[in-house]
Amino acid sequence: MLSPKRIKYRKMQRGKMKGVAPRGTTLAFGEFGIQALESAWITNRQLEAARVAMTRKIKRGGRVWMRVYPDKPFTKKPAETRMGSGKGNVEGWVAVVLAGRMIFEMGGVERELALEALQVAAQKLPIRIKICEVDKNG
Amino acid sequence: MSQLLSLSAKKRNRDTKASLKNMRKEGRVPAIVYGLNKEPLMVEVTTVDMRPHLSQRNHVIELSLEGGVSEKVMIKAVERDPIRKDLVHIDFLRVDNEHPVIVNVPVTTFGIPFGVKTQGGVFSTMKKFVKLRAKVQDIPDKFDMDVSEINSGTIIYVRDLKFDKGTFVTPGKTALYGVTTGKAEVEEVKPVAAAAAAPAADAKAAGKTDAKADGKAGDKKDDKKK
Repeated sequence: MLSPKRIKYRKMQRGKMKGVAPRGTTLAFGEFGIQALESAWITNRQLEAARVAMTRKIKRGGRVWMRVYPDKPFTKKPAETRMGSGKGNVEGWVAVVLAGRMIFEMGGVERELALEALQVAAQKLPIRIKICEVDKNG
Repeated sequence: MSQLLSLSAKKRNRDTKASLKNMRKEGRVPAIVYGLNKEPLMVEVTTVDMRPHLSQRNHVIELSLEGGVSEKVMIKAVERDPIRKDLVHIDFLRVDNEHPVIVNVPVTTFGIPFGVKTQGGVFSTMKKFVKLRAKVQDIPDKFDMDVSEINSGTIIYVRDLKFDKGTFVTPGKTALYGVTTGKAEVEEVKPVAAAAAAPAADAKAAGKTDAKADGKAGDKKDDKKK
């Protein structure tokens, strides 16, 4: 599962997800992509599930790019624990995805197959998305 | 570039955030005209009028302003809403037939590479546009390349393009297209087994001392509660 190799601080504050993504909103590598329409934390498991689903769909050929990385740790207190006693343990990793952010890109695949694969991948994500195609006029 | 399309624009004085927002609601887009060492000019155009211009690239527009004044311009930049893709702002660059301009020209391909057909390679696109510097009348619509004879392991660079009416701004060694010996997917993903242990390992590695201190403090508190 995707996670950073080394981190400076093991727990992070939650932060806010205001507005839309300032960059990473256009297709930069592939011809097709999945764009987020909502802001959310997307876990490394969800990203991996989506990636596996779409690469299985396209079988061979083509290439997939992941434009987000789950580099934010999230913590959770154990079950049946009283409140207090500090912050919980690191439970997993998430990517902070703001609305408008391109999450995946795909290239070198036939249009119909690419759209199908991205649709399958979209089912694994917890947000509303839009499937984008490259504009021939740039 | 031989096309010369016309577009009517109106001078604008409104430049506050609220007024621009209202302008966009009314179906108009704020724009600016600059270049050729003249004063920049704030204008507004209608979204409907802009549509035919957005489907083309690197074409010259005859921008007619109030009072019979007109300027030759090119679209330099188009800012859009990242989600709705509505027009937010347009930059027009003043041009003439003497001064060269820097533009992005698309590079397209036709044919199925030999390396893909017979050698099982994967055709990959590294760059879809090249930046070049040329006079307005010399800008090509696109570079169309025949890739049917490319073998597996071959890469086409910017220097392989033929253009003698201007210069490439994109370095010649920049790769455009290539046929690589293919895999189903090429990604930098860690093996699952190693990655699964990573959060726990990180937690231990990052703060052994902290964890000890926290743990002791936590235990004591818990004991008291019990």
